[in-house]
Amino acid sequence: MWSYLANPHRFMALSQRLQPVLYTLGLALIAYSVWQALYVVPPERVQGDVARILFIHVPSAWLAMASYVGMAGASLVWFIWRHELADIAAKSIAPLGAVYTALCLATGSIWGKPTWGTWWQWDDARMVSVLVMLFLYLGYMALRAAMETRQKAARAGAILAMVGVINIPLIKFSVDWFTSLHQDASVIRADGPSMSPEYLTPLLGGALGHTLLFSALVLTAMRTEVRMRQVSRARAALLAGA
Amino acid sequence: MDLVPTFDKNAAYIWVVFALAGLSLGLTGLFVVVRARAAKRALDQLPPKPGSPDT
Repeated sequence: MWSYLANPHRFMALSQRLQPVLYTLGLALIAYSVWQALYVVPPERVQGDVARILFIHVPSAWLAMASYVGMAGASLVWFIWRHELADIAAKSIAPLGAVYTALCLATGSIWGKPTWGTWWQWDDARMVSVLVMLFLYLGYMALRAAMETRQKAARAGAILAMVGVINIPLIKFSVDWFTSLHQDASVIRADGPSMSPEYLTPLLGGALGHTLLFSALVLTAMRTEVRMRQVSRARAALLAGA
Repeated sequence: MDLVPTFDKNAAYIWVVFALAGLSLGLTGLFVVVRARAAKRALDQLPPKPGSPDT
């Protein structure tokens, strides 16, 4: 399967058809979620209106983690099979994952002030582990940029991405393992979500919408990288022939 | 339904979050699209390969 998908021509043809569908569905679901969050959902019983922030914060937190897993998975595929498209995927995911992680941290901090009375708590394992993930994204990009060749950049980046994935279970289970201001999991639980459907449906719709938008942005960024590598190879060939 | 919904005393926090999300994702999308167009333009401007039908 990897070899089938790793063909750049096949990827370009497939992604060209997929992109508009993903953009349209993603933006439509996000619009639905924002409309529900601002106009339809009643104030939460304990938190009041400020709970509406969670319709942005939770999808961004989900994507921050999912995109890191995606980046580490792509890095693993590159490391084993050396498919260039896997390296392109990892490289393309990193800045977009960093944006969602920064958004998660910012929105969480803004939600925390009226809810917990503080913008930031260094004792909170979840906050700190998500901050570490932002540094991993930034470090990944800086490391790649510092390497002399594309192969070295891919190798160093892949190692960092794969090692850093250990942070993901730490983020997920930090609320169970450590004392935290965050509440326990309320969506992904063994006994089902503890949230009422009027909150859960737009929240999941928003999460799916952001996931589709993120996938579309990654595909666009990957297509850009494929083209840029084609351009640099062609220019190198021209120089060699001159 | 009001055009602009009214919230409790924490309205400013809510609006800042939604504005921040719109702005950051909008700028990210714009950056990705502009870069994609620049790459396509650069590829299109390459001279045709020797032996290709365009030469």
